[in-house]
Amino acid sequence: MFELEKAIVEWRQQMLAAGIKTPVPLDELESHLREEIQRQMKSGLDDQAGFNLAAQNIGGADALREEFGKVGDSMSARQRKFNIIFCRVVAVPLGLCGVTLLFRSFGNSPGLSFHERLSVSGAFVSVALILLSWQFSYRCFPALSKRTRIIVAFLCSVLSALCVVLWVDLVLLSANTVGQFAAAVVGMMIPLALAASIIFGLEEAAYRMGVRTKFLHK
Amino acid sequence: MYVVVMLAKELVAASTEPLILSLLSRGESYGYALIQEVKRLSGDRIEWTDGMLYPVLHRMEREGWITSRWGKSETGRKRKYYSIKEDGKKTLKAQREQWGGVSGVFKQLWKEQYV
Repeated sequence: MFELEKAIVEWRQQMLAAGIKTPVPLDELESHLREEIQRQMKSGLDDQAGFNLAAQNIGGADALREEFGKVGDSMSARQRKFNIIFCRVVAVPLGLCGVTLLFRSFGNSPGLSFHERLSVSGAFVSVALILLSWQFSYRCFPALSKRTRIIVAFLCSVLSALCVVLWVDLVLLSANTVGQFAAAVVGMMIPLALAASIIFGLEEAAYRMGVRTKFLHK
Repeated sequence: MYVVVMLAKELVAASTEPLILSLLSRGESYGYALIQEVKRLSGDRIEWTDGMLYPVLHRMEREGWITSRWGKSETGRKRKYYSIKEDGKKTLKAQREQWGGVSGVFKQLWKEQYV
């Protein structure tokens, strides 16, 4: 003898076993299942046939889990907006600093030689350009899974930190003049900006790819 | 016998978000009702795999286009209701312009060809 409530409990267990989370979205799916069963029964089916058809219509657990998995996979639109604004807010003043310094070097510039000013200015502008570059270079990046992106982000952070340490040791501490020191300090930001640009670029590539989740129909 | 011409998969996929936004702009609703309404309005030409609507709804909520709350159905069971937010209205407006643009081009072309 078919028992509807028992069948629904079993259906829930199957969904849970496949990795559909509770209470959201499983409760929502169950609510849908119950309404569909009701509708099928109203149209003349018995509870067993109604349940089978409703469960079939709602889709398989694996396919559902895959689609739900994509929801949290790429960053939200808000996070993306933040990334863009953050990079612009940081890059624009740095770029302006670089350009201003270059022009001021032609005037009265005690302390720094022309070459030193050029180095500092170049470092400022490079950092600014690197920070802005991911908004265009994401096209060359692959759309990776969230897990892979986290690993890449971690490696980038470690590598850039390592670069900074080496930079301090090899360049900063051996700076003889104020100008060399200034260029070394600004230059230190380049590996950090590179790491940020790669991380943001990968996020953007994944976001662009995931904007349209594949929406299957029968 | 009357044969329903189903919409191509790609077209269904592309129209899902504007459809949901359009339906929610008429008022609060829930997953099951949205599916039934789309079936009715499309004359059964658009048929979603029921469960697949929910990941889309959740993603749209994450994007900040729609919001949800748990309520009760007529029978007292819990049910999740969705409603449109300001960002959703803006997105819908932009999508309407895009779909209007495409539809306008077809209208002109097919009028010229007397199809």
